[in-house]
Amino acid sequence: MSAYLEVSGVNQRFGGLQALNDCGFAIAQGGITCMVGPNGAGKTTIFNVITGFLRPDTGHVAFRGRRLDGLRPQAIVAAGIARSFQNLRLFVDLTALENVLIGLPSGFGEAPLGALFRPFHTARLDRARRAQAMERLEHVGLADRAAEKVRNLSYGEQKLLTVARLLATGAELLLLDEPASGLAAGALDQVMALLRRLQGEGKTLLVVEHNTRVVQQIADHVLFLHQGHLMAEGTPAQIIADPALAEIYFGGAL
Amino acid sequence: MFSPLILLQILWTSLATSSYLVLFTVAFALVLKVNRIFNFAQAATMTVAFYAAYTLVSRLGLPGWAGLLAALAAAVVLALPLELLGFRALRRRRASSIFVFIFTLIISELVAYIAMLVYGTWPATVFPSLFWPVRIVAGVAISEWDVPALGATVVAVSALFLFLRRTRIGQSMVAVADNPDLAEFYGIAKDRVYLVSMIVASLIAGLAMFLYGTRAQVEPTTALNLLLFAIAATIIGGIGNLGGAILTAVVLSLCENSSILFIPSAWQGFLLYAFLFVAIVFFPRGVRLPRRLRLSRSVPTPAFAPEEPREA
Amino acid sequence: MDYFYSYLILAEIYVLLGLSTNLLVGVVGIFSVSQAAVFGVGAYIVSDFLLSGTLSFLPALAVAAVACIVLNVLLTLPSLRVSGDYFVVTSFGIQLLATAVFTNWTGGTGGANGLPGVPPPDLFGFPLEETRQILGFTTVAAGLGCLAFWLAMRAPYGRLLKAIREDELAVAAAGKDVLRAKVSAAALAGAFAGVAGGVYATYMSFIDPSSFDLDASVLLLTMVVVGGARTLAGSIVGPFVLLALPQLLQLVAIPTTVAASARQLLYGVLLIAFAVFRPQGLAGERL
Repeated sequence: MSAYLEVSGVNQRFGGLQALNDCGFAIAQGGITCMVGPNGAGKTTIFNVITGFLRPDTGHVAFRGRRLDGLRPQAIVAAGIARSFQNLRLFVDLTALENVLIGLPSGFGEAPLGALFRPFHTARLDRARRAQAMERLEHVGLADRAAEKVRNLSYGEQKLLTVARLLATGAELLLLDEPASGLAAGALDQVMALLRRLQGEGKTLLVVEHNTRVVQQIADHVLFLHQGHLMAEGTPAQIIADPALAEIYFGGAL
Repeated sequence: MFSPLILLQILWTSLATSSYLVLFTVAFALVLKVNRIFNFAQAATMTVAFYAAYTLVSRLGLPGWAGLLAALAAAVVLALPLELLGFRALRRRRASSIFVFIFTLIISELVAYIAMLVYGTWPATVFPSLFWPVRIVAGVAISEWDVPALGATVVAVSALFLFLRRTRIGQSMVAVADNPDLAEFYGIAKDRVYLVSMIVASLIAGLAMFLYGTRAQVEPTTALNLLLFAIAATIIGGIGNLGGAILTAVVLSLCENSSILFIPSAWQGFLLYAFLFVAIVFFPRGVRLPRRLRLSRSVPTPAFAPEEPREA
Repeated sequence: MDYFYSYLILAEIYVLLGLSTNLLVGVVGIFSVSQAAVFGVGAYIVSDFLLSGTLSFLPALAVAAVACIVLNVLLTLPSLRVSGDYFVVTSFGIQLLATAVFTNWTGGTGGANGLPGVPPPDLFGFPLEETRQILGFTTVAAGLGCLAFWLAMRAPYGRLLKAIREDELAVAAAGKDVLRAKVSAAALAGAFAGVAGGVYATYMSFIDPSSFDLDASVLLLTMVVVGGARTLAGSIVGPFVLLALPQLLQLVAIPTTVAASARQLLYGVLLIAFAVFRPQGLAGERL
C-alpha cells in the first residue's frame, strides 16, 4: 500500500549549500505529523518542494499514489495540498473576509470577461462565496473581525486567519509552517485546539514546530530533520527521549 | 573593407572610447550595488560636472586641470543634497521603487532644464577645439587624447578597488552591498556608507564626463543617453560584480564601434536600445534571483520571526 | 466655451489612460513607465487607417484596441521574470525604444514631424465634427471605461488583482493562477490605452512622438498618484486636476520655448511631493 504523502530521495542545492540531502519520508492519512529539527535543517525547503514552489534537483513527491513532479503551485492546491507560511504572508490591505475569499477555490467572476459582462451573475455568486468564507472565519473564531483590515488584527488573530485561508482552499492535507511561533500562552492553546479540531474533521496535518511542548501535545508522529535529511522518526516521546537528537537540537544553545 | 588594419583601428578606438564608458558604468554599478538605487540622477551629476569644466576652461580660459577639479567638485556638490535630502528622505519613508526611479529621473531633467536655460541647447566642449594631434603607430592612428584618457581610467579604477579593499569605509561599503541588515547588525552606519558611496561614484562620473567633454560635444541632454550605456553594461555584467560591469563596458564599446561595418548609420542610435532591451529581457538572472529561489533565506532567522516590515 | 469643452474632452481621454495606468500600476502593482508607448501605438494605428482610408473610425479603433492588448501583454511579460525596480528599468527601456521608433520610422508615424490631418471620428458614417459632438462621444467612452473599471474592481477579479499586488506568492499558494490574472489585467489596460489613443488622434487631428514619450508616461503616473491609486474616483480626479494645471501655469510668464519642460518638471515635482507627503493621493490609496 502506498503512503498518503510520500517524499523520496529529494536533493536540493542552493549554490554551495546542500539544503536537502536525500530527504525522504512518508506520512499517514488523518494524523498530525510534526517536523522538527534545528534551524537550516531544510524544513521550509521541503515544504516548498512539496507545494511546487521549488523544483528539486532530484527526487519525487507522491500524494495518494500520484506523482506531483513538475506541477505548478495552483495545481498542487487543486490536488489537495495547501500550505501556510512562517511569515504569514497575509494580504494586509484587504479585510479578513477578503483574505479568506482569495483562499476559496476559483469561481465565476475571477476572470475579467465574466466580471464585466455578467455583473449580476457575478455579484450573486460572490454573495454565496462570502457566506462560505464567513463560515471559515467562524470556524477559527474570527467572525466578528471579518470586515477588519488585516493590518489592524493582532498577531494571534493573524495566525488564526492564515489557518482560515488555508481551510478555504478545501485541501485535505495542510502544511503549516510554525503555526504556534511567537504566540502567548492563551493564543497558543487556541491554535493547538484548532489543529486538534481540524484533525477531527478529517484533515491531515504536517506541521513545522519548534516548541517541544506543542509537539508533545499535538503530534501523533514526529519527523526529525537534520542537514536536509530525515534523521529519525517516531512518537514525540521517543524523539524527545533520544539524547543524541537533543544534543543536535539544543547543542548550539546549551 | 575588413582589412586587418581597419579591424585593429576599430579595436583601438573602442578601447579608447571605453575609457569614459567604463567609468560611467563603474559609477552607476557602485551606487546600484551599495545603495541599491538605479541612480538616473547620475546624468545630472555628469551634466553639472561637464558644464563646470566648460565654464572654467572654454569660457574663462583657465587651464585644463582647473576644469577637471571644477568637474569633480561640482559632481560632489550635487551628490551631497541628492543623498542627504533626497534619497535619505525617500528611504525613511519607505517610498516604493517607482518613486525613487522617477525622483532620480526628475533630478536629471531638472538639471538638463537649468543647463538649457543657462547655456542654451547648443553643443559645447571643454576645450574650444576637439582636435587632438594624431600619431601613427604600426598603422593605427592614436590620438594624444587616447593614452592619457586610458591612463586616467586605469588609475581611477585601481584606486577604487584599493579603496574598497584596503580602507575601513571601503570595506564597510562592500559589507553593506552584500547584506545591509547584517552590516547594520555589526555596527556599520549605513547612512554614512551610502553617502560615501554617492560621493565616490560622483567623483568617478565627474572624471568620466570631463574626459568625454574633451573629446566629443555635449548638450544638456547628452548625459542621459550616455547613462543608458552604463545601465545596459551594468545589467549585462551582473549587478553583484563590478569587474563584470567593466568588462561588459569594454565589450559593448567594441560592439558599438564595430557596428559601423554592419549597420546603416540611420539605425546606429537603436543599437543602445537593443543592448538595453537584450540586457533586461535575457539577462535578468544575472541581476536578481528569480522569485522561486528567493523563498528560502540565506540568513538564519530566529525561531520567533516577527512580521517582516513591508513596503506598501 | 470651446476652450472649456476641449479641456473636458482631453481630460476624459486621459481618464481612460488613468484607468489603464491605475489598473496596471495601482491595482496589480506592475510598475510600468511605458503606458504612453501603448497609447501612442493606438493613436498611430487609428491615424494610419483613417489617413489611408482603409478602415472607418470604429473598426480602426477595434484594431487598435486588439493591437494594444497584444502589445501590452508582451510588454508586461518581463514583469513575470523580474520584479520591482528591475521591471521599472525594463519598462523605461521599452519606452525609450518606442519613442525612438515613433521618431525614426517615418513611413508609419511621420517621424518627428508627426501625422497631420487625421480625420475626425465618425460613428457609422456620421462624422463628429463639432466639439460638442466629440465631447458627447468621449463622455460616453470615458463613462463606459469607468463602468468597466468599477465592475472589475468590485468583482472577485479585482480582489484577486489586489491580492497579487500585495503578495504574489501567497496568491499562488492559495491555488490561484497568478500568470493568467496578470496577463488579463495587462490586456484590459492595453485595450483602454489603445482606445484612448485612437480617440486622442482623431480629436487632435495631429499627433507626433512628443505626446507619447517618457514624459507622457510620467504624467500618467502622476495622475494616478495625485488622484489616488486603486479607486475609480482617483482615476477620474487625477486627469482633471493635472490637465487644469498648465492653464494656471500660463498665468505665470514663462518663455514658450521652455514652457513644455517647465510643465513637465511641475508634474514630476508634484509626483514626488505626493509620494512623500500624501501617498494616498486626493481620493485613493497608497501606491
